[in-house]
Amino acid sequence: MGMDELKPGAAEPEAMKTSGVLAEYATPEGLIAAAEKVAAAGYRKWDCFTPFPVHGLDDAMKIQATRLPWFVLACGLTGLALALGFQTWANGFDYPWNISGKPLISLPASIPVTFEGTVLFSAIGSFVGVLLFCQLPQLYHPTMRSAKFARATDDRFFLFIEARDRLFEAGKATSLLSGTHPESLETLEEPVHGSPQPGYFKPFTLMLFCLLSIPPLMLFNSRSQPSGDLPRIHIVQDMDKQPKFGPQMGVGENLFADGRAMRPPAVGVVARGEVKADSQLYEGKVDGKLAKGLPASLPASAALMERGRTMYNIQCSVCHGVAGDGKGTVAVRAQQLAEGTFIPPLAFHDDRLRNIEDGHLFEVITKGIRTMPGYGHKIVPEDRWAIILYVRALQLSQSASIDVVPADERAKIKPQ
Amino acid sequence: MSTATVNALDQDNVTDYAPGDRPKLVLGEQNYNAVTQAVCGVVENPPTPAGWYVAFFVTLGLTVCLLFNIAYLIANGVGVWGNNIPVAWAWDIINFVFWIGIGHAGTLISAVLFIFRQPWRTSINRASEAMTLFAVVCALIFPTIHVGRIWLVYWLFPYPNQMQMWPQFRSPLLWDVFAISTYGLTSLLFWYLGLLPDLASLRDRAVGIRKWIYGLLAFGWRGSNRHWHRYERAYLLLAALATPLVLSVHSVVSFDFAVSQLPGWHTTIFPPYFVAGAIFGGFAMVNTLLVPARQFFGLKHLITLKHIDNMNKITLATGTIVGYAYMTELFIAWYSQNRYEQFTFLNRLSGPYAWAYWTMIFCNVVSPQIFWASKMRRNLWATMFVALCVDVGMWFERFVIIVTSLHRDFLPSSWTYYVPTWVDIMTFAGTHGLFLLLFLLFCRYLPMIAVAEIKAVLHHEKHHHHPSADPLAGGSNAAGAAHGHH
Repeated sequence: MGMDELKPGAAEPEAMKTSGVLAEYATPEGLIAAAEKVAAAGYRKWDCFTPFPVHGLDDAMKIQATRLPWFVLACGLTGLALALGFQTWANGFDYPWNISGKPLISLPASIPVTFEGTVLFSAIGSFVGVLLFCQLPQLYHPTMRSAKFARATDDRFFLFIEARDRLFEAGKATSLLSGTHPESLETLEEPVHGSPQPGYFKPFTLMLFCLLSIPPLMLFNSRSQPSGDLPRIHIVQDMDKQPKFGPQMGVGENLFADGRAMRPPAVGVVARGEVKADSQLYEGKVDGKLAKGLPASLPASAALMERGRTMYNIQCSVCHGVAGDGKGTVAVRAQQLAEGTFIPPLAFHDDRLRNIEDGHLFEVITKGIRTMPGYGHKIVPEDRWAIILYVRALQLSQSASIDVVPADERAKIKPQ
Repeated sequence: MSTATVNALDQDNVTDYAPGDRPKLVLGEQNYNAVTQAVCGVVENPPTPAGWYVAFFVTLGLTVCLLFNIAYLIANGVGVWGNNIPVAWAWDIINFVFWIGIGHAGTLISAVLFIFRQPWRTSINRASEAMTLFAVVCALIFPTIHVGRIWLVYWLFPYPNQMQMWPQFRSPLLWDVFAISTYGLTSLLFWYLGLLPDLASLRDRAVGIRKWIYGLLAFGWRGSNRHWHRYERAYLLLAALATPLVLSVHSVVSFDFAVSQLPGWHTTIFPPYFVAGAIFGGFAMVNTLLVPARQFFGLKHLITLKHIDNMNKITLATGTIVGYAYMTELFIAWYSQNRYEQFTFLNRLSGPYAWAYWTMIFCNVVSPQIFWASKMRRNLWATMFVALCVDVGMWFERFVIIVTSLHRDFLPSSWTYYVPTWVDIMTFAGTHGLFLLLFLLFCRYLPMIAVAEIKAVLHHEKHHHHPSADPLAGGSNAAGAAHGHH
């Protein structure tokens, strides 16, 4: 139907070419019979149009079974592999977090997400597959130029043989189809040169794509850089700054007189298992005064001495020296660097320290003295007493006479 | 489509058919154009009935109420709800499971009945799939807003992040995320694929801007048989995929509870029990929507009493399964001799929430039993009554499961009685508004019956529906049947 030729004011009728022959049928049976004839005649580029799928028409048209199911299978298997693989990698290797002892790689626990992934990819594959295989969206087709064709989605059945078919000759196709008793038969035409794409289309699409890609690119850029000096934006103020008192917080005297939010335990309260009743073991004091001698619960023994030597060498010898002479490597080096302003660690080999109470040594190890820090948090009380025992041995070693050494050991000591 | 013909069907005695014979699924004029006209006419013919506008503004108001409540929740935190230890999950999760369950009926009608080759599904599947999508939209609101820090809800998804963390895939809460997302997307794709031919019908009947819009949405579908061939394969594949998907999605939702240690929750009956309950509740909602819709939109000849009859049969069947599940739970509580399990069920039956439990039993187990009588299955008032009962009853089932198991669990010093706040109630009412609003818009602007599928059924009936015993002697009948050609 050369409708364009009838447009008033058209400068010149457009050159039209035949696009094909369209036959209309009132019943599916009529269409099937016609389709069999057309297929038998050897046409390849032709199609039937029906408002609902008509059974028997696929065979009449000799349509090959579509490969869509294989495409869907491929999509589904991809989904399965991705879901299972990702779960195994993410929870098993990249971020192996023990949660309630659940196994890191658990096939049963992976089933739900794997199943959903398979179905999701298959479903997307089915839908996209239909569109792809049918080459939809296809917003133009030669049949749209027929006014009658609107009934193809209503209650009529059409058959269209395209002019592009190598067997097509307008007269032969028309006579073939009229032999099938259609309700109507028309030859469709379309312009030889279809409307060109509007000039603005390509640059517009390109610009739109560039504009739309700006936000994701900005996001990627900002993710690779530190957030800078500005403080975070708190959209929900009362979630991030909660009106409550945290532990260790000082809140002024309005709440409690001591200004704390936490309450210290009542005086004398002791946690279970934390009773430190033995004041000599835990403080080195008897009746409130620093005492001499090891605590009764920790008698001197070779094992305790050996422990003392180990712990002294680990914790104390770096400053006080292996022989207790204040010439540990740190002290020597610090003397060199500090050029005389460094206060050296004590050597133990003077009378004052030989006679001082063991409790005093215990206090010094626990709390520190002058520039020495306390080691109470690092060394348990039993080990501190072992160190004190060893220190006494060191002191004895530098101040004893040969008579103190047992007779069978004297041979080992060489004169200096 | 003459209204006289429709009114003549008010007698609706078309379910009296001879045994061995199949009832007609399309009544009245038996031609394709009549079907197109009836369904597309609803979308095209002005003026819209005043009732539609009234319903539209009411539901729009409820939707605005929903949005306000969500904003209030986000601004103030989850404390505005009634949840608290021990009842940490309450209306939020009840509503979520309720809406997802309703969605499943739509997929069952579309996909499962398709696999079972039940032609009567064709007049109800479009509306029920749409119902599924709207129910999923309503359902998705709740897991999103109940997390507390909604601005961080994207953490649920596995994306590469600077914390170098991944979500915990061994948790049902994350399985839920994937299951519901897959379900929503697959339902949307399935629904849209079904819509394509009908959008083309609307396009071909429309003019102006409507033609342009429907034309874009229809992707240029023109009914090509080569396309129908692929379309039918894809439709079958999507139906075959959607069937296990429905089962898996509600099973995954039930795992939210079953994987925990709470008495009353930690039970293997939950997956089948939840799935049956979902189908049960969903069919009731389909009936609730379609019985009025067929009345107001003049579609009684397409959604016939036979369809209502069949849906009520399924309602009865699934309701009985749900009742059986209740009895099994009680039996196992006794048989297990586990005192916590026993206490939980005694507490349900006779504790502070006994009123909820017995409401649930009446609505879900007792009320559908009237459908044993075929007269009741075809009585529209009975149908609506039972459908509304079941809607309420299925909500109460989730209430009983969640709240009664939580409010009295292992430590008596934590026991309490949970009460919802006005925010809980208004949010739920608002989701009903959203659901109905979307459904009203769907009825107004999209074809609510699958026109192409009905025509295929009609074609099938013309050639195979025969009162005599010989189903193959369809030829003479076809020639003799009044095709109503003009």
